[in-house]
Amino acid sequence: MSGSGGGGGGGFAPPDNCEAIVIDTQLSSPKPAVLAGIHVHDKLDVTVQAGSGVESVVVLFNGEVAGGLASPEVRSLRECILRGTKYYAEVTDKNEGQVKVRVRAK
Amino acid sequence: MWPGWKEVFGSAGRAASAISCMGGQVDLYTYVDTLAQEVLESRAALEDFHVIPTQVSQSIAFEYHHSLETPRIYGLGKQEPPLSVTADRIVRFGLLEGDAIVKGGQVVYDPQSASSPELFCTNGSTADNLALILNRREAESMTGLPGRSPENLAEHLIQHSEAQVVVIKLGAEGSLVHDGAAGHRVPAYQTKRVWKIGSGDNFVAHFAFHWMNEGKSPVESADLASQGTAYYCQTRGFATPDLLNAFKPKPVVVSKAYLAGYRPLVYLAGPFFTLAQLWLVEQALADLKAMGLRVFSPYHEVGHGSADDVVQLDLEGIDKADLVFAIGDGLDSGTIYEVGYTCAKAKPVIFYCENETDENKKMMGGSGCTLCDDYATAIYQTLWTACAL
Repeated sequence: MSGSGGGGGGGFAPPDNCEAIVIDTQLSSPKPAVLAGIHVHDKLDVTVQAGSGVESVVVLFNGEVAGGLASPEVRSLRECILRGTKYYAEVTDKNEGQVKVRVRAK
Repeated sequence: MWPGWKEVFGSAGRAASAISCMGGQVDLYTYVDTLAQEVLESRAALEDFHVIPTQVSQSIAFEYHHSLETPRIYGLGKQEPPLSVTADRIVRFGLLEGDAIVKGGQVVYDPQSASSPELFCTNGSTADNLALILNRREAESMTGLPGRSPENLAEHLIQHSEAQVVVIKLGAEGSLVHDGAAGHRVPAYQTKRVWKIGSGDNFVAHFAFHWMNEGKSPVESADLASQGTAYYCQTRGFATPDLLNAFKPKPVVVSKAYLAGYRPLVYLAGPFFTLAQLWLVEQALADLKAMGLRVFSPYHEVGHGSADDVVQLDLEGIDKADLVFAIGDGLDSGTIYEVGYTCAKAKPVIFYCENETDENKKMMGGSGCTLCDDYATAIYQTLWTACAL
């Protein structure tokens, strides 16, 4: 991909220490109807959802999908969730229908 | 980088996200390594587009200190064999890893190379109806006509290239859209915050969606693309039709003097007594100049010295300037004095400050200064303020 950006030469952290994973990112495909009830500092559940041949990592609010996670660490995050580590996503910003979160282990 | 950001995106990937979020169906053809492919396919599943990957050993990575900086590029290697795509509607970006040979009905092409933009047909690509999207430097380079007006450049490209539509992006002045018959101006839009990385990709994506998917005119497509880009710059996110309808950015106001070629003089106020302070002054000087503004930098034009040596020369710099860009973190006494002096002269001040309390910014906020806590936003606020003078 030309123009991949932001990190700079870094690879992806293997999930040696699932408790140490911390991700700051923006929700992919945020769902406006679900996001309407979300506020900064809310803590949302993080889970793996199967579909279209891909296991996506999604963020839930009251059991409904609020959006997905597609950050560079998503592979490690997915493997850690499947191994049993629980994570939450704290809302750090909400702006014109877009939501930023910080993901960390519970 | 600052503000922090680390994601897997290329130009075409961003465009795929942008078009898909607007409701278009997208097949993304791209070079990608194994690890980045997993991330990309996760995003594609969430945003409902399809990835057709061509495997490479390592994807290219870009590193920035801030979103206005020219990035450091890692992973550039040998040129890969070209991608080949045939479809009714295609968006083609210039690529660092290789090339894309496309054969399409309607095609939007962004060469993405200011120094040596490749003509669309050079690699064997064909289109029944081609739109070129270029920045001014690309248009000058592609035509070999530096210094010409956007109207002249677009007319030349319509006459001498295979394009039926030419869009030349002009920064704060918006864009010039030549629809094959005549040139039309479309505004840029102001935003509360500015995230610059990927803004051009979003412009291409929204133009392509409206022109190719929705059948809108080139001019209307460019205006909607400008608004879609503003949404991205403000949020770092991709607009849906509902979000875009609710988003009401104001067009950048460009004065007659600016349109006629006058470039306002910016006084660059800020401390330069440590390496970190000097680095920021150098960044601001370069970025303001890159926006086309003239800059009076006390560090560069007056320098260090005693009060007798420098103060009068600094204040004369403010007297000559049209507006001030002030670096407020640290509350340097000289900078705060310069801000007050400028306000007393009824000239605009853009006060860039990330780490001071509201109490410490009260006088500046209360006296009409534009307060910004983000560097790129502060530079753009300076540009937009200057344009209107």
